[in-house]
Amino acid sequence: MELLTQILQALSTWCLIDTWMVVMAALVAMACAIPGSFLVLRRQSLLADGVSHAALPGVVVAFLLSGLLPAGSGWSVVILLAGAAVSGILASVLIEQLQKLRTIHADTALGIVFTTLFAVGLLLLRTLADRIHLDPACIVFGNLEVAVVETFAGTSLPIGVVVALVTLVLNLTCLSLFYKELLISTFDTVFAESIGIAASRVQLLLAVLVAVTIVGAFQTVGSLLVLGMLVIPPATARLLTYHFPSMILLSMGIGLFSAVMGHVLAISLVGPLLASIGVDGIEAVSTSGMMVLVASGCLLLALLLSPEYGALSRLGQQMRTQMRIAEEDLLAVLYRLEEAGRQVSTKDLASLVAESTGQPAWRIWAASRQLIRRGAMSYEDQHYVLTEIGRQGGRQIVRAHRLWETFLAQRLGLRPEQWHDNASRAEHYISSELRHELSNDLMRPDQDPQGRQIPPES
Amino acid sequence: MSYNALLVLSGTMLLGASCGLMGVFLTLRRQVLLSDVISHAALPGVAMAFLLGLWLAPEKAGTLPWLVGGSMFASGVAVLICFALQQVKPLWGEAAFGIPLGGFLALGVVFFSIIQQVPSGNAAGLEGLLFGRAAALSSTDVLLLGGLAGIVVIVCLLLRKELLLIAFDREFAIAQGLPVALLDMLLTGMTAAICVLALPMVGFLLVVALMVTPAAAARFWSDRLGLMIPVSVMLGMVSAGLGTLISGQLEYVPTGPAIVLCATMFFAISVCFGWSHGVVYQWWSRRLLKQEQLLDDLLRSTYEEFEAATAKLHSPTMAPAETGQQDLNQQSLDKRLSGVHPWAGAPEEFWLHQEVCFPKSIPTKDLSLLKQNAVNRGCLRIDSAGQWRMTELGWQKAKAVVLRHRLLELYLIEHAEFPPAQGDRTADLLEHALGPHTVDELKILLRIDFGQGVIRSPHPLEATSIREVSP
Repeated sequence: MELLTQILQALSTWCLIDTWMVVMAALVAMACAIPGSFLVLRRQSLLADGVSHAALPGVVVAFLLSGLLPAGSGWSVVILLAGAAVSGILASVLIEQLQKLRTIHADTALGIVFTTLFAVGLLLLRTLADRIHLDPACIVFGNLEVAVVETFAGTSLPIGVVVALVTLVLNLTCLSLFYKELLISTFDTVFAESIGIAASRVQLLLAVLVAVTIVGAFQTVGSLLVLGMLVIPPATARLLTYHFPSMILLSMGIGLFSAVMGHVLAISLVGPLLASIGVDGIEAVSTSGMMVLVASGCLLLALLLSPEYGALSRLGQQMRTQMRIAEEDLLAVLYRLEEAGRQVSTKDLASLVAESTGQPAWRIWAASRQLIRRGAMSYEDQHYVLTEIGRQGGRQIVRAHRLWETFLAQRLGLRPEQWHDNASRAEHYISSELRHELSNDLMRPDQDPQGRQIPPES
Repeated sequence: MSYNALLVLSGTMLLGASCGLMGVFLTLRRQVLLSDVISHAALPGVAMAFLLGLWLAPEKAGTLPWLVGGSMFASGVAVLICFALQQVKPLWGEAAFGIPLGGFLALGVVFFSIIQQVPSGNAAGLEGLLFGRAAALSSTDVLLLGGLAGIVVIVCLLLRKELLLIAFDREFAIAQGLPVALLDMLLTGMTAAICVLALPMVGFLLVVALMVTPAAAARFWSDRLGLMIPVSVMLGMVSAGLGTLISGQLEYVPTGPAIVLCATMFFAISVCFGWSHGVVYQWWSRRLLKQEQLLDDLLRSTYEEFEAATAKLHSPTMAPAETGQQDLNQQSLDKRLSGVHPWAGAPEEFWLHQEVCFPKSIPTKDLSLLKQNAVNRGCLRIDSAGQWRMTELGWQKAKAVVLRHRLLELYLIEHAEFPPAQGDRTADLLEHALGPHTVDELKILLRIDFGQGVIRSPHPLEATSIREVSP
């Protein structure tokens, strides 16, 4: 409770700068989602890592050039983005040329080119350190808190917001212009080549887009953290949808959410949280870091809850299957009892089913509730009685069981002690068509090898 | 050079060597990107270890053993996450690598922003880990890093055979009954360990370079692993040593970039001059091959010109030029071969005294080099009158080349069912690739046994560019 008030207190100091920070981070996050979606689908997420390293010399040179211009001029934005595009192209061309030697693989070429360019960038940065005011750690990890203070002369509009906006617009424009080429080349390279879309061109376009996006983002999230924003929201979206346009929209949405939540959590949550374990004096943590962490949290949720790939949904599916098996076991036992003309009290029935099928008691209980609810059996005078629906279900299971035993005995020649356990497992997976086929194949037997009657289908 | 500096230098060289060694396995197994993940994931590990250190043992916070331990832990977790994400269908392969990378970096950034605000937090020692600062290492640090790296290297050398086997041919290794999963884990673990150990030297962003670049460079020197490993180890060692020396001399150069740029320099040298796949080597050998081919073409065309001209001269009826296409196709193989060299008895002096006529198909820019090459090899000579003549040796060679061409042409027509005209052109393209062994095979296949003679051309020859021959 105290934590909550502290969080609210931290949020109450929200001011214009916070708003600008969120706007900037959100624009960057949405811009990242566009090339990022293609990178994830093309399994080239580390291209982003490579280009983000390789962009460093471009950024440094561009910064040096824009230092010659009067402060607060719009041209510096253009120079920065151009520098990024040049280094992106340079990195892609170098990687492609190295691959043409055929001696080294693509990933090795990537590793060599990007580390070299990054080393060159670092060296430039150190050598020119007194001429440009760039902190290496700041470029690499971003500093939203500083970036938002640099505004256009005479206005309160931060330069970074405009840069991020330009990047987003650029990405959207390229997406709409080359949507077909990007999409086809991503999903079917061979087909794309056959209709005249050169894979290498598309790759270059993507590398340039990534480079421009990274530079547009380096003040906000840093040239390395941008990797997280490029990869994680689209990967999350991919887990949730198949449809490509919705994947892009969804990943933009996740980016937006991460930006907002990232900043909110950065200024409000971590400080009070740390204070509660006795570490005082922490006011706010890095927004860019929190932003990527929020996105990672979204991915984690998607990994748990995604309808197709989620761990939880798979668990649910498993549980539903087990429930179905328990219900079928219960029906089959009741059918066999009815066949033998016996009636057993509910308590004895539960222990009978548990004994013969190994199902835990709670699942048998749950299955009986479920069956009564569905009208497959009813509860009368301490007994369970099958209704017509339930009798039909039980008959089919028993039929499957006995047909399968016959099959095992006649066709596969298994020994009698192998029949029952095997059939108890198989009976739950034999559909009505399969029963029909089995019955035909075995010359429509009416008795199983132990001499019990095989009930008709209905 | 002080004792400490010497120790640091030898320590970095040992680390560089071990990076070179592990890099060979890494590139063979195409796990370069994994090393990227490992090294980047070390960042939050370092920061976390620093914070934990502040809490548990403030006087020791920021010392190397803590940081190395923390980064090993974080890298291990990142690798496990990588492998776990590979199991999720839409994220298999490379898509899975970017996720822990981004997430761990973000975690590191958040931790660092906390460290900067902790009153007692002096993050100075951490800066070195970002960009590498070998000079700041103390002698105990070096002994720790070097010792651990040494252990990894020794294990690697002891298990050399098994590790190479799983890198090259996993299926075979499984069939041999090797504990492949265990060896996999061991190799990945050792790679991670070396990555982390090299962090204080080159910084976490550039470790990948030291792992990958020497190994890739070694690839240009040899195809054989027995040579690749020592070359890679040596390049790693020399780059690390050189980079450390340079950054020791120049104040503003961090060790990491210096080492990486040294490694890249060696890589560039290897790409150019490596004697297995180097660009210069390839260019040179291609050039030699082309000269060889041009010489062959020259010899053959000269031989055929003389052949056509003299055949006409000696017995006009036998001239191949007059056996038409129609006729040729109707002849049986035996008949075609029966006319083995009808003018074989002609005096060789005759050929040797004819002036060589350079075919127009040879481009002028190649011609002077070709003449030089032919003279150097003793195939052509200039007589006293300044005319180009065949030598005895040239003549023998020309016969062999012509025989090779005709055998191939015959083979293409008889066995590959090429139309005669196309057979000639295809044989032009392929003949240079035939070795003496293949020529023998062709002779056997075509059932030709004629000693040193040359067979008749399967297609009609015409003396086009040569003048009337006067004996």
